[in-house]
Amino acid sequence: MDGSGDSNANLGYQKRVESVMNCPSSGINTNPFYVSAWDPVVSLSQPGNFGGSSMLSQSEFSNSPFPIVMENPGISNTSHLIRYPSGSGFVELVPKFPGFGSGNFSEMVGSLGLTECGQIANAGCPPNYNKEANNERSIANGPQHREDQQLSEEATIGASPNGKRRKRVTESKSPIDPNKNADGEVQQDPSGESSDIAKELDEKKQKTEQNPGANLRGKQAAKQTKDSPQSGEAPKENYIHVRARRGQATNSHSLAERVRREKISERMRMLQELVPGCNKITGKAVMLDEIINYVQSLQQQVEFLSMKLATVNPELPVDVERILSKDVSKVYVILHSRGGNAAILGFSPGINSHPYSHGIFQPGISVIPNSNPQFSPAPHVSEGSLQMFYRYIAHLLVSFPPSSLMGLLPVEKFEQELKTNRKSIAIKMGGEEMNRSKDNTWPSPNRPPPYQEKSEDMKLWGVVIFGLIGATATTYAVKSLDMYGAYWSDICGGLLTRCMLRSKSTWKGGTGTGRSFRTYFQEEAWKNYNRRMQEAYEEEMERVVSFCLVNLSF
Amino acid sequence: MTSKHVIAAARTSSIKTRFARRFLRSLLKMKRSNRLGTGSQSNEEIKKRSTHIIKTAAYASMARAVGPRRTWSRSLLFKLRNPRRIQGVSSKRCLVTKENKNKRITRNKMQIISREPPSRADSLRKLVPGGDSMDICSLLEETAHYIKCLDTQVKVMQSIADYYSN
Repeated sequence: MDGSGDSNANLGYQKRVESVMNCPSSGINTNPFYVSAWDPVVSLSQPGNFGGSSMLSQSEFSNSPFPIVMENPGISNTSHLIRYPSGSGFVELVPKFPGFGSGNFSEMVGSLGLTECGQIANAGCPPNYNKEANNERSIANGPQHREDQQLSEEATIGASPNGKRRKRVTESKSPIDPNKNADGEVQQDPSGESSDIAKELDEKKQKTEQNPGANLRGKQAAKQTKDSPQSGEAPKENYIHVRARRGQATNSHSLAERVRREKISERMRMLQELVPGCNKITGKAVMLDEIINYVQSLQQQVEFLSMKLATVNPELPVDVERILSKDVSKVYVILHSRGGNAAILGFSPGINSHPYSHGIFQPGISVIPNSNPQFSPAPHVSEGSLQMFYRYIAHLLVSFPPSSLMGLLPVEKFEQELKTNRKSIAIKMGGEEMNRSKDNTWPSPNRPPPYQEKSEDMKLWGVVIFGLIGATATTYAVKSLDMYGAYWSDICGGLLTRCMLRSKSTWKGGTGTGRSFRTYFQEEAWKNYNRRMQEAYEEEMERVVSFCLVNLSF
Repeated sequence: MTSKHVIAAARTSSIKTRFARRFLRSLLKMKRSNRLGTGSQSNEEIKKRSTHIIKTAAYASMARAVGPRRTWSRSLLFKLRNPRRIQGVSSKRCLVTKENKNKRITRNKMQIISREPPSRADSLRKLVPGGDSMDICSLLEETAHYIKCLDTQVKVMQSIADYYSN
């Protein structure tokens, strides 16, 4: 022990020796196990120290490849260390361990437990050991890790024989990392020199990996190269073994950090699939914002629905299956299996930018047929959903040609499924609760005008804007927002009249220019349809205005 | 998205049915108790209270349907079982495993002086029940499961409301 102590001291391993002394376990072979190629091997020879069958198997294994090491751990250590700068032998030793370590090493490390016996940062330790042990340590032992790292840093500084200092390996951190950097931050503290040495080792290791037929430890080389393909992220017993890829920093900290980051990105990808409309979002910050918004909107919906359920009186025969199968699947089918006919709902492109549209419109869909006069709006709940509704409508107007919106209307199948005009209108308008009481007499806009839409844009816009204005006015009427009511009623009136006039003129103009592709019958049908629409809008406008006036009188 | 939703629906169907059953049972119970003991309060108060009760019942039944397998459900159940006067104790417990730079925040949540503006992770923590004591990695996982269950909850409540209002 003294001999090894002296030689170790030469290389600045005083601390290690001291820690060896302090270690309650006995003898030479309680070399504080860090991440070195030989130290753990050495320490493994004392299964009594570190009980566990894995240790026995490990020591057995270790005995064969490293006879020299086993015999004289102290000398072998120093010899290896001395050889380090010229390093061919040592270097060849390096790649053996990853393979060797991938399976049993974890158990070894785990059972060794990284106790207060201390950790040695061995300059010659192969980077894989560094990262493996550090990974495991970072995963397993938080507080111990830090002091280990400190020890290791000092030891590595001492152990760097030539005093070589390479450039610091700096990890580029994502902007989120400072926030999320739970254990990474701790690991980054003693980064410095160990990274230099590790980097150097890695380069050499890469070279030797290309020449697996190294001579120095022929037997072990063969054995290890067989095992080396085992590397990778195969989690065994909570330990994940990572191999540094070519060109990447092999610092133990950076590797653990990389593992952590990959985990996080994997989870973010999972979340991206859950939150609708986040396919195009790249970037954790924006994604997190979307997630937060989505969770908030879901919670708001729960609150809104619970409010709605407060007025519901459930009868005693509760048929769960019927409830579950009936409407949920319908809504599901409507909203999610209509992917082919995107124009029908107008949602799928809309969904990309308004991820909560389908969630919002679900309440709208069911709410529509339920003309429940007792509905008392909770402003904070409706506000949020209303805002989102308007976002959706705005997006629709901006990005869609109205012809695609026209596609919203025509689907007879759609109408059949929903069975009520109100529901279809709700879906077209983006069904808010405001439509509930006001659309009773809305004639079905689902009669498909079987015309090409190329010339219909103006009319369609008129139609759409009618609906929008009416819906808006209704919302505010229902919510009894007095000041808005007056404002919007004025605007509604003005816009509606303007639209009607404009549409009238365009329709007249359209027919007047004699579109040859239309038959007379089609034109007649279209005129009738438009007339009906106009009447409906006029009716609704009147009703809305009167409602507003009534409310304003309070 | 369609296939994934189908898969998600199939996987959470058991959660869905469990949640639906519990929720309906609690609704019935609530309605029965409501019929017995009202009349003294105004309609608005009644509605607010029943809204709150229904909301709590929804979350409770969802948490029980999920079981104690998830951190958020465990935390929800804990909060439900222990009334708010023990909130100080529970939040103390929650901060034990936090390792990041919020470490300088003292253990007692009442004396927190957070030195930096609330990051996104913090706001997510506030949203997800039991999110205080998790690091980002597990927080994201919990959020994913929580979102799935919230989605189920919304759909079931939706269909219930539909069913009973027609």
